[in-house]
Amino acid sequence: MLKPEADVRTTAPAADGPAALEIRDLSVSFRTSSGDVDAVRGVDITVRSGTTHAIVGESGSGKSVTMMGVLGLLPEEAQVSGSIRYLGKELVDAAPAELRAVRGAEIGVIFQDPLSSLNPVMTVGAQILESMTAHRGTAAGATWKRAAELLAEVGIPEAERRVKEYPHQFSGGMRQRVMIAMALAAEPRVLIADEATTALDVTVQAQILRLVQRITAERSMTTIWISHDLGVVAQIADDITVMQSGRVVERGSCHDIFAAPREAYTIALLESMPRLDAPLRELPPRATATGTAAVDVRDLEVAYQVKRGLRTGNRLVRAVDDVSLEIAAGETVGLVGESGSGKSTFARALLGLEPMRHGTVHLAGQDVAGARRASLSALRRNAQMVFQDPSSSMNPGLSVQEIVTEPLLINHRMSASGRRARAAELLELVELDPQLARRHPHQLSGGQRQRVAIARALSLEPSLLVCDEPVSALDVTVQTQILGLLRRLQADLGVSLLVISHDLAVIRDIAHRVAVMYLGKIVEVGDREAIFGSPQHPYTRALLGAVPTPDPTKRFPPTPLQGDPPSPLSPPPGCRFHSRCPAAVIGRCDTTVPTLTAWTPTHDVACVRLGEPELTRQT
Amino acid sequence: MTPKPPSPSHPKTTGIPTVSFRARLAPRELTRPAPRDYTRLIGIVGAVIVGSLVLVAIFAPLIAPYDPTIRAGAPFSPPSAAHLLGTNDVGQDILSELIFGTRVSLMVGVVAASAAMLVGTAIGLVGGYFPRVGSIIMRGVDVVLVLPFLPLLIVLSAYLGRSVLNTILVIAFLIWAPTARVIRSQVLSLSRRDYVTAARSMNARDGYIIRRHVLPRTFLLAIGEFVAATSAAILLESSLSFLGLGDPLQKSWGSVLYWAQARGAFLTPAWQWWVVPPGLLIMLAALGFALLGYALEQKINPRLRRA
Repeated sequence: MLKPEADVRTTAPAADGPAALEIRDLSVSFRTSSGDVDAVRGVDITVRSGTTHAIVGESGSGKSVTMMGVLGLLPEEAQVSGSIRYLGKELVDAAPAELRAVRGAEIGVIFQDPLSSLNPVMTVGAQILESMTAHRGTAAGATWKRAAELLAEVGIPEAERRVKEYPHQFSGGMRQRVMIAMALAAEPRVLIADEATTALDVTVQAQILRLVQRITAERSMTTIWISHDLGVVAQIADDITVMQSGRVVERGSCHDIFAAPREAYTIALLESMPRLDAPLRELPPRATATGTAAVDVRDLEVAYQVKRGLRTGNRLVRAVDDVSLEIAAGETVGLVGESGSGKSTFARALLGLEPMRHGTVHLAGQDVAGARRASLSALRRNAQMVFQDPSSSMNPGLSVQEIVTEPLLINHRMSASGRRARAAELLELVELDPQLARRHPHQLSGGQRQRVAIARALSLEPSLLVCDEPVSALDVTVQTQILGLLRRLQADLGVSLLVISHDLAVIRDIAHRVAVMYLGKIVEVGDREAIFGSPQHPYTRALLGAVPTPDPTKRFPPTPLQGDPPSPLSPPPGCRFHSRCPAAVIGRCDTTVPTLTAWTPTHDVACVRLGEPELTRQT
Repeated sequence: MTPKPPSPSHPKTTGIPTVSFRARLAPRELTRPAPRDYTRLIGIVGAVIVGSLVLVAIFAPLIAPYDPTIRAGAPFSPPSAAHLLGTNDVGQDILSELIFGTRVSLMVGVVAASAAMLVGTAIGLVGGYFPRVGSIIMRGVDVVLVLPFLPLLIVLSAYLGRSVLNTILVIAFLIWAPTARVIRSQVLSLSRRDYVTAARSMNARDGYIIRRHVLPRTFLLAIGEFVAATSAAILLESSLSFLGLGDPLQKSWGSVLYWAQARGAFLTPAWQWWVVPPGLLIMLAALGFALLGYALEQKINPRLRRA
């Protein structure tokens, strides 16, 4: 698939404007105890002034290492050769002082995780001030007023007051805005965003993308956007460089690359990305028998006591609040929602990993809540879980065989030799070479590890497989394979799946039915065609509207959804979504708690204004 | 660290004129040498010290020139060919005393540290795996941690009486708490891993999870703690014996110092052969175990490991 690097083609002449940043033949290698690792091998990138340049690639492609090189932030073990020029000034062996004059002052950075990039014991205003004085070498002009102006510029309401607050008092999206304000503090001409929206919910991501676009346009800045997400890139980039294994595979203008990718790797990337505008994929047929549902949840509530101050006493947080959901045998139900919506808690409660406050859970017709320990264990074997991150969900000290057969060992099924045979069977079932049984998890790739995790979950032949974000830790090309495997396993084994994801495109690719959760409640549930074809709830519509389409000709309309999801500690009264809902009517939505009502026989919606013609117009 | 030769696998690609950059393309060595990692060396030095002391303890009867309990020469002899470190107040050979004393010092250190490690690991395990119980237990650990060491040591051994067993018990009682803290934090982290949750969802009981997923990766850490605790135990034993609270029938480095002090050797030229050698041995043993423990901990404890 990969051509020799001499064959890298340029789809369009990349350099017609003046270059802000020119990277020439950059190579970075790391000395490790097991030999040199070449992270970047001879990369050329030209970033035109005043444009947004996206560097796209999967994990290990060298895109972040390249940018760390630009910033002079590589670890000491790194060996760098080649040239990096910022406005003609060489950065590669610049003296630390020269480098500092550029980094931060001329080139600002936003990282992926705003929480770990902000100092928790300094107010955000102080951190912005620090960023101003550190780069200018003078405190002149670095005033709290200026800091507040910056916060206001990045869309933080009540900036005058919030400038004195600490990072933990901000939500995830707001923290990322603070990071942007810090990056802007020294008035840089170039902004580097390294996976800056990856950790955010889609509605917040859409807000941040618009914000960065607006600010960079207003200040005529150059932006370098590093991302694995082609959807995001299509929405904002002017030029694109595609990287793989430390080399540039393809470069060109955004429109050209999306319209006519030329390299096999780029084509594969674009094709494997699940997208909302692709034709609906054929799914294995659901079992038509009217037998008992694989899962029947009624009015499930999971709540935690949260300790607060002495005077205020403890508070009850309802992570899952009166949720009912049914999954038929052989059916896949997708559960979507932003972080904090309670979707993972719901799944864990199904498996008996979270205490239920009330409600009932029936697995294959048997009541889980009422079960005693012995029968509970029998029930648990009926439902197994696949976790988000395969590398953390397996003990690194065990071999693949031990991992795959662990459920058999725990439940005293089979002898050691029987387990060995079963391990081989299971590995074949998930399309892995049985030879891998003797390996350890760290010797496997991410995709292989997730297959092992699936094999482990299947070893007890459960009737329900709960997959919590099964592909979100994987590269897109691997995602497609894992989703394909899950569909095939369902067709072959008739297992029911509950797939939890924040990624609507993934859900659309695998689920027969979809449930949308917001702050512990299901707001809309229905067949895939109904949810993606004619969503009724304003939240579902906003979610769908916020997903970046990997097509530069279809850039975002203004996103209707503002703000962040409120804290589950103090959910808004009435309809929990009303505080962000563009169609909310004060007096109704904040007083009446909507219940799930049948819109069509296979489509339930919980909205007070369901069916009103204005609802459709306003959202 | 040699500069990388220009890699022939990166011929210039098409599209962008790069000739003008050629001058800048010479490979350069830009990195400062990474700070050397001395952990290995430290570990080897520690292991050599500890190893030699253990050999001396095992082969004491073969190495020692005299029986340390008999009168081998004139009292208060300065060093001579017959008595390399001279003799003490009753004419016993000091070198032989020190060689045999290695046995007691090491034995007390190792046994007390083992006991402390067992107790500390058990308490850390319970405290980490069952956080509710743990939060109560760990308050007890905090109390032990803040107890003033030496006064308590003196009071306890004076009360319990002077015997090797009591010395071991008292020392073990004083040094298990830090181990419990370290083990607890590791268990806390391990028992919240996804794979433990995964095992729970497969219906695993606590016993299985502890055996299979928690203990194996805690055990290594306990070994590092054990070596460090031995160092502390040896120092404590010496202090006790020096204060005359050790077993009067056993010769250890501390008790040699005790007699040196009691007979005024600190004030006469005899300090050179009666006081300095046991002091150096105590220091050497504590250092050896501490170095070994440090190296082991660096290797084992993931939190200290360099990225």
